Amino acid sequence: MNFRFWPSLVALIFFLGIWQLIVQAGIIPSYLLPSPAQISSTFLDLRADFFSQFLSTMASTLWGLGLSILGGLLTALLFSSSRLLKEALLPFALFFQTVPIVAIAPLMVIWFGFGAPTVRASALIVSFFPVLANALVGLDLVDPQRLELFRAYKATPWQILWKLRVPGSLASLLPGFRVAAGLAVIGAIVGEFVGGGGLGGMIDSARTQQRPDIVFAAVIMSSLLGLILVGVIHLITILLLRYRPFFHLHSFQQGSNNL
Amino acid sequence: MTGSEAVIEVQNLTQAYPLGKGRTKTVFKNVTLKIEPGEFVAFLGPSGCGKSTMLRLISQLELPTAGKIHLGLARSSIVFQEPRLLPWQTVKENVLLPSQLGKNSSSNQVITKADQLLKQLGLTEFSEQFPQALSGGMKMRTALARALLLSPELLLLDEPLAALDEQTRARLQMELRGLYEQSKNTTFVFVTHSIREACFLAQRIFIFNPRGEQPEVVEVKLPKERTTQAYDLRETQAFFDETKRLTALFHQAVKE
Amino acid sequence: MRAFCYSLISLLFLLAPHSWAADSELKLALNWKAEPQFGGFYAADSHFQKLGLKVKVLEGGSGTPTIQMLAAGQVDYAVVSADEAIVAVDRGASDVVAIFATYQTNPAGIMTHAERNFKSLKDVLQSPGMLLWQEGLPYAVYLKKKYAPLKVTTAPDAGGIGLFLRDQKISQQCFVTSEPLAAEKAHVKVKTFLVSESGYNPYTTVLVTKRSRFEKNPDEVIKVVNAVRAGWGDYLRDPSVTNSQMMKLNPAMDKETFAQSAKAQVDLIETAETRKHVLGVMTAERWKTLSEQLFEMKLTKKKINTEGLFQNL
Repeated sequence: MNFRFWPSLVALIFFLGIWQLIVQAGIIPSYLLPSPAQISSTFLDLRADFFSQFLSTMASTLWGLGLSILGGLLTALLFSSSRLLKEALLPFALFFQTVPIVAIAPLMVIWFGFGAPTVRASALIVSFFPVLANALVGLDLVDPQRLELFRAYKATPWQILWKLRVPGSLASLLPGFRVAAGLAVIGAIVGEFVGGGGLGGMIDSARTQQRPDIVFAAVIMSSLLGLILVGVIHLITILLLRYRPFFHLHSFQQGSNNL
Repeated sequence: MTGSEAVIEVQNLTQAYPLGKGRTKTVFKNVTLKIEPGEFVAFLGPSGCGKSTMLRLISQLELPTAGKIHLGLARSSIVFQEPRLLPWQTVKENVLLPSQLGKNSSSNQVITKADQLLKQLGLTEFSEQFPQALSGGMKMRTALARALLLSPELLLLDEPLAALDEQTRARLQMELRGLYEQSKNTTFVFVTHSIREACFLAQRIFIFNPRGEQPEVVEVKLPKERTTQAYDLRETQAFFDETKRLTALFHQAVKE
Repeated sequence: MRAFCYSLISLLFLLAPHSWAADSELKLALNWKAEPQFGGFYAADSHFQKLGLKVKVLEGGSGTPTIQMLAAGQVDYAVVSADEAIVAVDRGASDVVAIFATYQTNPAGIMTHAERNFKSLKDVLQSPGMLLWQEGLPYAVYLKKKYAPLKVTTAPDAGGIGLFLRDQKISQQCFVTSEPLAAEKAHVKVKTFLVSESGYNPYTTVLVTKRSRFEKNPDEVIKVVNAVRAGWGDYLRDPSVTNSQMMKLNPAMDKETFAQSAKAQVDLIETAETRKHVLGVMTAERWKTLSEQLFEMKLTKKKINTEGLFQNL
C-alpha cells in the first residue's frame, strides 16, 4: 500500500505505547501525567462538552482569521500603492507581531468584553502580521522581466498591480495563510483563558479542578483544530493551482521559471 | 519602397553607464543611424557591443545619455530573449495581453486577430493550455503572436531565438521571415550575434563594434523573397557565399 | 602514612556539614506571592534557624500547582487549600498529610458594590448582573449548586479589579484580605460576603507535606510546625517587620495595604478554637464535612476518608 504516513503512524503508536506503560506501571503517577487510555476515556465521557467547545473555539478562530486575512490583504494593497503610508504605518503593524498576547489579553476583556469578542480579537491580533508580511513580500517580489514587459506595453500602475503583482503574490500569500491559521488557534485559546468559553475555557477550568486529563484532551483537540484549518487552506491552495498555475507548489523558485 | 520619412532616426546617440568611483562605461558614442519603414534590419555584433542597448533605447525602455531618437510612428512592440509569458494565463490570454494594458481594450476585432495569429504560428491547438505545457519554441511563438496582436508598425526583437535549440531556431527563422514578408510594411529590427541568422533574415545589417564607434552598415545581397517552399534558401550556394562575404566584413569591423 | 589517613578523614568531616546543609535545605512552596496571607511563614525564619532547620520559602503565582510539586518531590512542604488536598488524594496523590491550618475561616468571598445593597450571597447570585469568578473552583461549584438557578451572568476572573471598579453591575470573587481593600483604596465602596457563611468553609493556606516524610522523620516535621506556629504568633502580634521583608519580594502592594491586609485577616486566623488549643489546629469534623461536600458536588469520584489526611502537631 502506498500509504505514505506509515512511518509516522508506527512512530505514533510506539510513542503512545511507551507513554501508556510509563503511567500504568506507576513510574509517573497519573495525577501528574494522565495515560493515553485515561485521556481517551475522559474524552469519550465528556465528548458532548468537548465537541461543543471545539465548535465554539473554531467559530471564534475562523472569525479572527477571516478578519485578519481581509485586513491584512487590504493593508498590503494600501501599502503597495502608497509608499508614504507604508513607511508611516508599517512600524505599527510590527506591533502585531511582537505583542505578547498573554499579557494584553486581560486588557482586551476590558475593551471588547467577555466571551466571543475578546476571543476573536485575540485570534485576529496574533494572525494579522503573517498575512500582512507575506502579502507585502508577494506584491514586492515581482519578476523584473515581466515587469519590464508590462512597462514596454505602457501598463498603468493599477494594471501592473492587478494583472501582475497580485497573481504573482499568491506564491507568498498562501503559505502566509497557513501560518496565520495555526497562530489564530493559539490566539483564540489564549483569548478564552481570560474571556471564557471554548477549549481554552475548558483548559483553564480543568486546571483549577486538578484534571490534567481534561487539559490534555483539550490541548489535543486544539492541535486538531489547527491541523484542520491548515489542511483546508492547503486544499484550497491545491484547487486554486488546478484552476490556474499561479505558482509551482514544491519549487522555491521565484521569477520567470523559464516562461 | 522608401517612405519620405525614416521610421527611426537616431542622432548622435551616446550611451554611458556610471560604474561608481567616477568611472563610466561608454557603450557607444555619437552614433547616428536611420531605418526606413518596411525594412528588416539586423543589429549584429559580439556580446557587449551595445546592440541590445540600442534596441532598448529605441523601445524607450532606457533613456539615452546624450543625443536624440526620433520615432516616426506610434506603435512599436518588443520581443525579448525570454518569452516572458504569464504562467497563470492560457496561451490565448497571453497573446491578448497587450490589448488589456495601457489604454487599450479587448474587442471582438482584437480577439479575431488573436485567433488569426495563433493559426499563423501553429498555436491553435494549444490556445487553451498554460505556458508550462509548452516547449521553448512554442513559448517563443506565443511571445511573437503577442507582440503582433496590435499590428505594430515597428517590431523590435532582442535575440529572441538565442535560447532555443538549433532545429527550433532554424524553423522559427523561417517563420519569422515569413511573417515579415506577409506583413504590410512592418519594420523589423532584429538583434543577434549570429552572422548566418542576420544574413538570412535582414536586408541591411548594422555591425556594432566593441570600440563603441559608429556601426558599419552592410547590404545583404539576397532576394526579397526568401521563404519559398520549393527549397531552403539557407542550403544554397548563393547563401553560403553571401555569408562568407559578410563574415569577412564582420571580422574587419569588429577588430579591436 | 597513618597521619596522612587521619588528616584525610578529618578533612572529610570538615566538608561533610556543608554537603549535609545543602541536602537538608527544605523547600516550602506558597501558592501565591508574598502577602500577609503568608506572613507567618516568613516570620518563622528566625524560629527555623533556632531549631536548626534551613527552610527556603518559595513564592508562587497564578495557578502554581503546589500539591503536584510536593507529590513530584520538587518541594518538601507546600501550602494548599484543604479542598485541593482532598481532590488531590482522590486523583491518586495519597501520600499527603496536612499539618497546620493557617486560616480557620476560609477567606474567599464575593465582593460587590455597596450601592447594589445586596443582603446575602443568595441575593448576589439570584439577582441580575455579572459575577467574575473561576467557575472551576470548588467554592464556585458549591455556590452554583446551593443557589441554583443563578440569575447572575458569570464570566472568568482574570485577576485584578479593573473591570469591577468600572462597572457597578459587576461583582467578583476575592480574598477578603486583598481585593476589597484595593477597591476601597480606589474610593469604591464595597460590601463583601464570606463564602464560608454559605456553609462551605475549607481550611485555607494549609501547610502539607508527604505522609511518608512524616513517618520517616517526625522530628523534622514537628519542628517545622512549631516554627511556623511561632512565626504566625509573632506575625499576628506585630506584622510590621515581616511586612517590610515581604514588600521587597512583592513590590506590587504598598505599605499601607500590607498593614490593612494583615489586620483584616486576624479574626480569620485566630478564633475561639485556636485560643482553646493552638494556632493551626484542625478538627476531624471539619475535614469530614468538607470531604462529603466535595463528593456531593462530584468533584471527587469517591468519598475520601480524611482521618489520615491531617495531623495536629
